[in-house]
Amino acid sequence: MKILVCVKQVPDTTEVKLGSDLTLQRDFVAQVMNPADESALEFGLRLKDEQGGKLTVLTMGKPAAENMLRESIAKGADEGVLLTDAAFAGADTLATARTLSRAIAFLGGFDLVLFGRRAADGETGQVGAMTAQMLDIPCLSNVIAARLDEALTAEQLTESGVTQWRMPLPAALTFCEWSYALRLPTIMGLRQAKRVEIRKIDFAELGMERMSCGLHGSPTRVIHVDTRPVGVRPCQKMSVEDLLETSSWNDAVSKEDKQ
Amino acid sequence: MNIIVFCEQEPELGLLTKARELAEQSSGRMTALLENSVSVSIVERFGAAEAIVIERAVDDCAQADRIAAALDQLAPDAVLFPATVRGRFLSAWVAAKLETGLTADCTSLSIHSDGTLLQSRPAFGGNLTADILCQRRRPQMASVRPGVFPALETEKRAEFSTRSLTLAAGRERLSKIGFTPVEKGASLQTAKVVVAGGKGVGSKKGFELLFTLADLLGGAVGATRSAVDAGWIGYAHQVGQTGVAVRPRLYLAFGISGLVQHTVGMNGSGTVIAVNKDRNAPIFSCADYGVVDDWETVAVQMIRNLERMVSP
Repeated sequence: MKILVCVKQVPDTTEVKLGSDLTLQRDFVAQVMNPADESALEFGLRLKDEQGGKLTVLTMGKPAAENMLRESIAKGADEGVLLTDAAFAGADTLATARTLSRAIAFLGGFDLVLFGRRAADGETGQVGAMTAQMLDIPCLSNVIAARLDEALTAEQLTESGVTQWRMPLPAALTFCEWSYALRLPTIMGLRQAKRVEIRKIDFAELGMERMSCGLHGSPTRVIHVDTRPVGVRPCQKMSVEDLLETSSWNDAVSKEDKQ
Repeated sequence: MNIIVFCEQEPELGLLTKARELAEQSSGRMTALLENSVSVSIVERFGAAEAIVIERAVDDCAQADRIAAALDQLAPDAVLFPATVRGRFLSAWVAAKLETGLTADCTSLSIHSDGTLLQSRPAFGGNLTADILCQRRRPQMASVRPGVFPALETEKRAEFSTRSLTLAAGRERLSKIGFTPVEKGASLQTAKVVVAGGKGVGSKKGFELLFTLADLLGGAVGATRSAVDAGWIGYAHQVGQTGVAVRPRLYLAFGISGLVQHTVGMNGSGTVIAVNKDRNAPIFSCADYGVVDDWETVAVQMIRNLERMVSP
């Protein structure tokens, strides 16, 4: 059983603060593993515990992302692969998926490819499905639980409920943040993480064309970023006692009564 | 600009409305791509020039292949998807197959000066709005959460046609083996009052109090992503960039800091009342009324006030 978990480093949103001018205070923001990817990693580790096999953790990012891969190894992953190159920078979701799918084929393919359903910073939730399409393997998104016996069974959370699906391997799953809580590192794992070599793969080794990855390979382009506030209203601050006397409160409440 | 709107079982009326406006502004036409013929009259009422009906596969990967084949044949300038769990997945798979750009969760769509689709979405932690173009590849693809754009019916058009398009789906590899519907609670999308809680609510128990208040107001309970991720309340209640967008008559925000990821999902509401201990919380700039106080104290006082009205 070959398991791959695709992970991403994101700013630790619990540490992000807003200034009085409503702009993001970006100083000293720690980088952490994306929460939904932690779920995917924990599912992969449990599967490996039950059924054996090899678990690889893959990320595309800056050289500093190596730390996240070592932390994954300390928790039980067998190897870490870092896709890092200036040519990968500025990738949108399509160029990211293209680079990941190329790397996955380059690494020899996997029985299961696991993702977080979305990154906490970009929140597009596209990369898992796009990568699976490019690999031509079935994919299920928004997974809250999965198990593997003779086939793969997974539960998908949607707006209307939870759907159970079955699918053959190889397959890809994208996990919700709260599905599986990631374990702590072990002493053995920490030792292993110190010793292990993190495999770094660059643009040349993957043999990609420059026009297919990074900014060049991205069909979407951000042309403007602006701090315009969304839906600002003039706020009247008051005590709850005064609020309960306002006509707005009474209107809202009485209208509801008439329905 | 010729625009296709992909419609699920219940078409997203705001998306049809926005697509019609954009098509009209750019002398193009709006076509609805449907998976069954039940909604043909609805898409006509909301301004589609044509309804194209394709079959539906159980496996969404296979269905996305079929949608991609339809788009290949129809060659629109732009395609819009509802950003539901399913719509997101289908749009991502289709964009990968067609090797084109896809912008998720747009909060604004317009025609850029060069005639392309200008797509805006919250970015970088939600405080910034990014304007995005897809200039080189076609179709330009975007997803929009349900409820972001208001729905407006239009006058009947002179010409409207319906046709079905038979296309092979991809290989079906996923099979559906069961379904458990969401439990109780008023629908967030249609509720006249939404009582929402954020990280400040602090626990599952805290949300129980909000359910009590919502019941008294005949409303539904909403939540921010951090409250959902903490496991205090289900995903079906999530309001914001990656949840649903709501436009109730009254929106009550308890213990919500007011990140743009949340406020883009509620700023179409009628009256907004925010309760937060932190007087500088950004949520107050999105509120009509603000109470700087402990959320629980305020919620309890509101509940007492309402109980008095019900049983004087």
